[in-house]
Amino acid sequence: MSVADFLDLIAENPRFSRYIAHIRIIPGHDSVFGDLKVPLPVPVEKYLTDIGIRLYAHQAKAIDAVGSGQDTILCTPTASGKTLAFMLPYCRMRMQDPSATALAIYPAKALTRDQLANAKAISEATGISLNPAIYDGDTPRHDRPAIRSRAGLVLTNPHEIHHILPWNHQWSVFFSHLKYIIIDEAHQYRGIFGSHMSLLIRRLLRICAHYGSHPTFFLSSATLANPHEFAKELTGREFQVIDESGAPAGVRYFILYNPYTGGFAEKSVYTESATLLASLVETGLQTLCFTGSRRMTEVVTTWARDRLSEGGFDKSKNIASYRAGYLPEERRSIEHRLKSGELKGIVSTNALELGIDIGSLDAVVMTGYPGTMMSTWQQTGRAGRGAGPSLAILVSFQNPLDQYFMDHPEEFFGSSHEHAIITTKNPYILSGQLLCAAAELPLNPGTDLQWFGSGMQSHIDALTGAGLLTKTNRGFVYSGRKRAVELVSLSGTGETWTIEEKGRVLETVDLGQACREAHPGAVIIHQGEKFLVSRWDHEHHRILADAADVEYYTRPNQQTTVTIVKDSSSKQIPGALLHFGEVEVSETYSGYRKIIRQTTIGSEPLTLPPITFTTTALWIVIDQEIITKISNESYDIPGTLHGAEHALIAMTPFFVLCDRWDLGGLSTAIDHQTGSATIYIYDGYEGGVGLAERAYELFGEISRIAANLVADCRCEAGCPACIHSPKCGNDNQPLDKEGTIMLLKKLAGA
Amino acid sequence: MQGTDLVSVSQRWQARITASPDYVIVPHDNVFRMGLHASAIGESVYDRFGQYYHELMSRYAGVSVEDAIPGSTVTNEDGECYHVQHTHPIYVSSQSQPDPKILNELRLIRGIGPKGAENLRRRGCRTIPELFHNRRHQKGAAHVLEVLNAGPSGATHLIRSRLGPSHPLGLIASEGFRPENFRFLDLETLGIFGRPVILFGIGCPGPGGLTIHQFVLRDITEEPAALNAVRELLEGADALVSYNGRSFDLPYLNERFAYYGFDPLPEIPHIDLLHYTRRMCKEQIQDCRLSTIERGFLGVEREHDLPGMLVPEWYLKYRDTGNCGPLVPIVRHNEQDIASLPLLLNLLRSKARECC
Repeated sequence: MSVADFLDLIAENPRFSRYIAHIRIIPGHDSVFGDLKVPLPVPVEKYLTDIGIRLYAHQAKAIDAVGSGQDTILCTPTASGKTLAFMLPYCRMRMQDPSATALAIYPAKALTRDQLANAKAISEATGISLNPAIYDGDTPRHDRPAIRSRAGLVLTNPHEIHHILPWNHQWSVFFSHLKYIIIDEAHQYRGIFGSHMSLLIRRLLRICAHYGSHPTFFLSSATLANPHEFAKELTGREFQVIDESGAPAGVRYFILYNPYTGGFAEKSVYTESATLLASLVETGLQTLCFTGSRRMTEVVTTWARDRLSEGGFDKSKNIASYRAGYLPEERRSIEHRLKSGELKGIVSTNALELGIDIGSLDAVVMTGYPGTMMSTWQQTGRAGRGAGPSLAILVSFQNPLDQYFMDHPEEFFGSSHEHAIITTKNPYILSGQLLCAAAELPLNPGTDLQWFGSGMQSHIDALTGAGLLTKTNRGFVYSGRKRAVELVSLSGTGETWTIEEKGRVLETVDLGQACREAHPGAVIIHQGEKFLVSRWDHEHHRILADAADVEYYTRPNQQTTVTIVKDSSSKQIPGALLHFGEVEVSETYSGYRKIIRQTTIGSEPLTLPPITFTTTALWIVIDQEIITKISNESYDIPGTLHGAEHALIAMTPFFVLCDRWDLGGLSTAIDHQTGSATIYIYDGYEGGVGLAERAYELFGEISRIAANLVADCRCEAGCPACIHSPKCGNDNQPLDKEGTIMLLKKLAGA
Repeated sequence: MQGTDLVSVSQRWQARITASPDYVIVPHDNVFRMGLHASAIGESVYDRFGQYYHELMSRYAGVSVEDAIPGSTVTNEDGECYHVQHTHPIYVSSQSQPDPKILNELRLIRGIGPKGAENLRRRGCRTIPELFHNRRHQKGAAHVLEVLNAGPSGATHLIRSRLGPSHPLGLIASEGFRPENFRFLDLETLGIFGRPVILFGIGCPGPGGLTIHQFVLRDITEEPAALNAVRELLEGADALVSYNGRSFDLPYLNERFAYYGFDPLPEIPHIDLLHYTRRMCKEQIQDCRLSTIERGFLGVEREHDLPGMLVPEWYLKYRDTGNCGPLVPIVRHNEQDIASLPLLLNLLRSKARECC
């Protein structure tokens, strides 16, 4: 059965059709080929002819740009030949200058393995010696010196670079001939990690400059709303953006599927996904189903198999599950069975999203909105063979964003609106990165400004005062007792705690997260499994947890205070004055509740010290006139402010690549600092990672869709799809939905 | 974020350093647990040094570095540094003639392994010159003889590359160096890598005995000038002698030169006594720490010798308090290390002559 036939089938079957919120047909297009301005060397041309490849327009454009030394970011879909676009200019470079080196940085180790094989194949086929090698934590010690002195293309990850840079002296040959830096999956570098990464790249460039090289950047990324700005923030360079893909695409059918059509779900999202998967497999369409967790992967697999056996066909063997942590041979067997067509259905966690090669399938089912449009399109891209038709189904959760898309497909299918945000100005991150830089080469406040910005001097003074830097006539040198790179972790700012189960590290969290999510007695969910926190080991910053089969989940009771430290800018918006600046946030966790199906079954006290940190925030000081209007309508003022706060936070991830958990909020009817009703939304990370700043800039848009969200929600008085927040420290009390709609509409200027 | 208190941000790093010491204190000096950690320190030793630390702090309160550790200030193009110098009646044994036994080692010739050497010997070929009559090896033999005759520098390099860094012949060949051109090297640093050197110790043998030059950083600021002074002492040397210097001191020193953008040190033949000690003394002692060797073989007993793993912490205590009490034992510890190196060299050489 074809994709189109399947579409007809479920559109006619009331079992499915009543949940279909929208069907969109995205037309396909043919290949667009391109010609190079500067032809490739003969052996490379011959190689392309031999394997039957003609360059797509975006590849040709990228090869020309990179070849001419232009920093380039390529934002085209998966499987559009990004690797080749980089490898070819490097081949040419190696022919002209056999000592030229290149550094390729991948976010995950698994990706380096695939790319090494690619590079070796090209090297062998063209006879151009690329000398590719992986250099990471798994590289045997005895192989390392030879790689450092002889490798042409080094494939590695950010963490390894962090540890390599202090040894730059041993890499002097490599760095002095460095011509290209490739950063694959660049969109992964955002938030805290991305902000560390941007300064790590500054450290790398500083070392290159020391050894006399000026490498060209080649970035690849998923589609973003701000590729140029993002690439510039990440590297400090001006980029050419190439975002039109010349790779062919077949027609794509996209179904938005809403089990919550009636406001509540008769069948769970997982049941629906399993049923859809089973139906697709039954009709012979090869299908990939994404779930959020390992456990759900197993559950959906089992249910889909049961469904198939019920039908009397023994096709249940045709479905397998796939997740991170499988042994390489298990993985290869699955990959092989998929390619041979024996396997018709596969259920996976997001592990598959990261470029692992399983070929292309007919259909993709997404269990819940994956959190970002970027992931959505990457997952969708798994379906579609060449120019053939493909199908994608998004089965929505009850979350505000999921539900918003069900009601507003035009927003879902519109152009990209997601901004990847990083900052080089977070003082905690900058301070640590400066320590690392000083351990690599003495810091020079004059010449190093170009890498670390004008904020550097005050950091140097503070670090010198603490004895961590010492001034010499050659610059400021690192003079701490621990290795600088050991002090600084690329994934955090403050002290980090590890959550461990029987010695196995489940997660690394900062103190704030630990108090919120992993306090003693908390139930934490890691990859779909539940764990109960037994105690904190304060001395070693360990949180000890045990696997637990409990029914309830926990929510902490939290009191937050926000103190304005610095009011940096403000602007008049409809009905309010919007401010951006720095605040000190103090969060106190006084206890927690045990909850089963939204009913509190008990509460326990907690004795934890308050968490205090400075960060960036926006705050909305609402005009008295609006407050009066709300109160004239006899809406509840605190409930209105609280509801608006939740809705605004829930919709920010629509524009800014982050999770709603990355933002905190507070609303007060009479704020003693502003003298008026105020809603604060702050960046949940110490020092801020630029989230609040961007939300300040995009506030008009955010308030507009927040207003639509709440107004269009069919619930009575607020629900998880609109103004309820899963992280609310006050048990979602008080909330006034009607008041919230009125306030948000005013703020949006409607 | 101009509102952030940068001083507190910086202090947080410092707090994190303090929270992670360089060593593990083992309760009750438990022998089993001492073996588990590379950097274990027994509780009793730790306590003893805690007490010693307080004694030093009160003894040197208000005393300047210059009074506590007499020396002189050296000025060069990279600034000032502090130089301490003592001469000890310690001499490097010398042999006028290199040991002819080197010529018995057929394996020095490329292409001759242990089996080949055995075969040749059975066929009556006992020395390298005798291979001049062997068609296959005459070229190799001539080359090796040429290298050996050209001087100890090439000879030690050849022995090292053919027979490994611990072969006793290396020590015997080193007898060809003139004793006064040896430099005995030992560094004290703030860590294993990527941090400043705080004390450079260099021993220079001479007719009056061993002169130990120490460049102590009164503050990290003095590191570039001290590196410059060290270069002057090392340039022109025939050979470096160290204990574990091939893996630690010399790469560390080279990295510091590179860090400051200085030219690299010239390549100097290097005799690392740790390798020979491991090979020749391992069975007789429990570990290969220099202090263990001193006690077992050199008759040197150190009193209050500061364990190496406490050095970074004590140096920073000196720097942060300004009290030079904790600095004094670091300087003494380093001086003793250097003084032991020529004695150990002499000892190992005589053992090498016995066993070859």
